[in-house]
Amino acid sequence: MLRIFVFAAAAAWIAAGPAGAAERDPLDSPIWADIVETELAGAPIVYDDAVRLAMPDWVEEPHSVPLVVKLRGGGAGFREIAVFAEDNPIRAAARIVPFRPIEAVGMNIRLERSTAVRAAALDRDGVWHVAQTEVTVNSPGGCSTLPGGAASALGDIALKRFDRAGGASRLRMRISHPMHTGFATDDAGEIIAAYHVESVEVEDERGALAEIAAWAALSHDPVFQFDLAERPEAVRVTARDTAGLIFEGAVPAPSM
Amino acid sequence: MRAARALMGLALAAPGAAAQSYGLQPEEIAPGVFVMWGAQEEVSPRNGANIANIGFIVGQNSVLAVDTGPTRIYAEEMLAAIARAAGKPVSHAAITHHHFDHAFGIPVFRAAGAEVVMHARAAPWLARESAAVLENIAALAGPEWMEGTEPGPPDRLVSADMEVDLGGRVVKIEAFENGHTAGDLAVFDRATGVLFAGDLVFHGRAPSLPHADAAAWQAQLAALAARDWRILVPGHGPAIRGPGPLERMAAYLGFVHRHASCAWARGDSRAEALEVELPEAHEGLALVQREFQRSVFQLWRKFETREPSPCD
Repeated sequence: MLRIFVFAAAAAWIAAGPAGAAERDPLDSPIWADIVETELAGAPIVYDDAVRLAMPDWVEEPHSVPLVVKLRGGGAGFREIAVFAEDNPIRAAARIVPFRPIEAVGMNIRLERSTAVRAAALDRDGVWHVAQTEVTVNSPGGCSTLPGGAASALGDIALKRFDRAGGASRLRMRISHPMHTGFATDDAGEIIAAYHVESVEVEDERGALAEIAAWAALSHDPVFQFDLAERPEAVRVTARDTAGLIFEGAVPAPSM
Repeated sequence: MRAARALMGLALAAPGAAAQSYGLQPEEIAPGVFVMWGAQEEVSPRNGANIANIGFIVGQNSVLAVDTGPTRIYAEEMLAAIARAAGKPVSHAAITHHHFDHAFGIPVFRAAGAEVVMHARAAPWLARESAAVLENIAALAGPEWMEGTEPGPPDRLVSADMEVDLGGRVVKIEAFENGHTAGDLAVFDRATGVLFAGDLVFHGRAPSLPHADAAAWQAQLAALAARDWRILVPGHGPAIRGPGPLERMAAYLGFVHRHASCAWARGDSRAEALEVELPEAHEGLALVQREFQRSVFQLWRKFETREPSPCD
């Protein structure tokens, strides 16, 4: 595991160049250059296979577009993961700080129109590894219109643990929340004010697992999914929204 | 958003085109049995939502239409084509199911004096979904194709088989429940052995299953495959003359359902559930990538409220 990481870091260093010169963006996007400057503090960027972004490249349901960010080496050595949609009213979807190696992170995001989506992971040496998918949105409006379907009870957190191969596990949480973007109007034509979950903390019996900073670019009833090398016994989730409300959810230990 | 869509539609319309026209050319596939073949495509400004097979059967006294097409313009052109080919009034229109590409021309046929027949379980779906679907289709095809299209209800609801006498020709309308949709109709012409199966059968194209129950649908396909017909006209795709395409379609439905329920049981994300290599038998189906994605997402929504039986 360690050896893989050392190799990855070395490769990143070579690719980024000793002076931290920017590697050429495969999509050559000026919006991305702007995001790198403002959101990633102009840190060195490499476009390599340390990060993989799994998501559909064609979308008909723009209010809830699923994606999974997979990290090389079981996620060891990565300090932060961020997801951006470039040509979107809300560019940042979420930033995740893992406190233990997380192999993959999943979520659902909103897309207003066709755009590139980027997943970035920050390694221990301060280099962002970036993967991207160009997504065609067939029916636009994921941020500026309300999704169909009935509203769920505010703040309910459904938390589930799946056992995966080799003693690994996946945690999935779904937080019932409208995640209003501030761009959609109600039936009377009035703008619905922005209102969304802004932070989520995940912990188990050994302490903090991950911290999430969230924006309204996440879908309503946002979903997060984490792949861990171990099987935590007791998981607790604490979410806070922009009105200061606190929501909690837990998976008790199987023996309880 | 609406204004932007309207402008987009205008920009895409053929320059100088005074009015939209489908140029319908009914093909006589058996004596007195005509089909207008739809494009095996997604709805686009090029096809004006003409993506389904629509037909009619001519008796000595009158004509029965099988579906009415997706728009007012289509239904009016179809009536004109029937007048040219048959020169007889349209006494009946059998609507195979509630989806727009088959049912949105209903009011035009009613206005022309036809009795429009639909499955009793399909009519509520038509009423419930028409407005939203009309808006979607206008965005995809361009609003000029949809001008004057106002989906409306049928005249007569059926939930069992019935017969229609067109004069010297008795046609059977058959009722199916909870397979492809809540209520589907098929039309069988005894004289020629032609079976209009509607969207119970897709041929050479991945089926879409927004309202389907896979297991019931598979059973209906098996029953249709075992029956004695000479030519089967599917809702989408070319004519069928043997059971093979129905068996392949049942296999595809089984594959999609099994794959989705296994992915669900593993705890996959929808994004991961899409990452699968399609079996070779299904790779060549038209629109398979998109329909597969649609189907997985639709099944996911179903699983969220009702757990599927666990994956084998």
